[in-house]
Amino acid sequence: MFTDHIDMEARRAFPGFTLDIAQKIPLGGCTAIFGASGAGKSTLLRLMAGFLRPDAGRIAFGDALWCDIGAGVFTPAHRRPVGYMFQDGRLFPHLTVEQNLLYADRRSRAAGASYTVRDIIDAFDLKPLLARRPDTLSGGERQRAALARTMLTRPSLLLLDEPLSALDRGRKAEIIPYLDNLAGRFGAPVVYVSHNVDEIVRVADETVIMKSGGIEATGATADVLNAYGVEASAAAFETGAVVTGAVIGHDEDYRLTRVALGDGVVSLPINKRKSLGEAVNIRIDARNVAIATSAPSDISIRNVLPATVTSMTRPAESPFVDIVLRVGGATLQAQVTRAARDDLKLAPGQSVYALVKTASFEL
Amino acid sequence: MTAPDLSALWLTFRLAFLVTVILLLIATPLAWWLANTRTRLKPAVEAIVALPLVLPPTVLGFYLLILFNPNSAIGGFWLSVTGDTLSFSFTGLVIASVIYSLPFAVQPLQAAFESVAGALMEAAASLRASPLDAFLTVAAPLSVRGFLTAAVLSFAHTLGEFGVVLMVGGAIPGETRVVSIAIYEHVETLRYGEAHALSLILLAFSFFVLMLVYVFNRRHRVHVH
Repeated sequence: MFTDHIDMEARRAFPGFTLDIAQKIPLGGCTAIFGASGAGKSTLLRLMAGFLRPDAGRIAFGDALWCDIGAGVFTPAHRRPVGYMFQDGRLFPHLTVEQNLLYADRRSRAAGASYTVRDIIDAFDLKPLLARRPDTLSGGERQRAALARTMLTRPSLLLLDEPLSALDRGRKAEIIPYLDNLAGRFGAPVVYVSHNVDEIVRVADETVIMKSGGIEATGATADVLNAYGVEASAAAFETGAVVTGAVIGHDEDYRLTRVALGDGVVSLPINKRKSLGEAVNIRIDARNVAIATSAPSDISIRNVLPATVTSMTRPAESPFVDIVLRVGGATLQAQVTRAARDDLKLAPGQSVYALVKTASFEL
Repeated sequence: MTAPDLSALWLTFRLAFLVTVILLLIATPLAWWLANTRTRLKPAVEAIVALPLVLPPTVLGFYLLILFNPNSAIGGFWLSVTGDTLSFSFTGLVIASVIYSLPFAVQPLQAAFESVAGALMEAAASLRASPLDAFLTVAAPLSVRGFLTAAVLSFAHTLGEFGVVLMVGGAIPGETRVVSIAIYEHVETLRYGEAHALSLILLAFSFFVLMLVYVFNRRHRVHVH
């Protein structure tokens, strides 16, 4: 049942915009579709779900052919084994949260359920909300209920369309733990559409980057985001780097998770869903990295990473210098003022310490 | 109240009830189609549906009279199948009223359906509901007010019909002599007492029904996001 890719070869024209892709999209854990607004991410997802019919092309999920326009094959949305979560939740306003869940459950119970409504209510902590109507829920509660409802379709493929974009930062932090490792917990690969780098770094194993209706790059999240972000610097997200480290411990007292990165250790806000040794992606914004030429003491910053300066670039007219650092096998970026660079006499090849505040880690 | 007037009242309510039922059956699929279609024919169909709103009832009645004539294709066909004429019959009146009140059923339903059509139907499809299932379990319950408005307006509008009845129905007691025709006859023959009685009944009834609708709409607000 677990297939490792979805084969998309589809063209769909809209006034002023055409989506045109021919690509195997890798599935497994969580695959992010990332790009700026208007890049075609949601269109791609809607083609997968069957809400949109391509003008030409074919879509196959493993052995199942969902769409082949040339051969006149088109499986309508309600017959695809797909779970779809909408940006705005789209809970049915005339039903309570519980009735919304049962609506999905009743129509997919035959699909070989490995979990029950009770399991889902527990997994998403929905017990206190069951009797409520959708219009009395907060944004975060609504998305939690919507995700639970989607899981009750017992999908073979889970499609999430910007599930957090309607929420403010506090609400996002509330929901994101429920999005961790959905594929592992519920046995369906996830395709996650978002224009937010931090979300993707947090949830996605693989990332597909889209740009003006086409696919630009596909690969492991950290690799793709770094390549895309460093090389196409004028691109959709601010300078910064995504690094991958391994979890080495959880500190219950200080509520921190420690991650080994090169020869140093980084502390993150605690995330106990990650087990020891598990790889974790961290996005480090260049503006949150400071540089010291000797290991500092008497400082609140706990994340002090031995690093080597590899290159420095200065955008014209800018007071800042973008510095690329090597930390173990990973690449980090720092943005410091030109004045600081001159005072510290920074030069490529130099050994330094990269300082990062734990409080700057998003999510 | 005289026996002929009572019979006119009974006839009128029978007509309005039957027309309302038929209209809901016809208008529901038609309004759903209009709310969902992307065809270029949509404005033309909407215009045809809305025609009875602006046409003088006499114009509509005139054309129907010609269509219902036993010498025309439709009227002749009806006569050969049922042995009855369409013009000056209760059946003809029902057909004429259905056409005449069509916009009053279609427009509220279409408006209700449009507010649930795209987004929530997609959500239902994503939960494995077939289009019919989604219509019955999501679109219809969220359109209760649309259905109620459509039913009440169709009923009330058929009650108040005059010109079309006059043209295609005449005033055959027990067959086509509805209340509005009866009132007209009373006024013509200066029997104001009878005219008052019938008018008052229609006025009170109409007010009472509309009140009920507004009270219901206040209590039963369904929020669609």
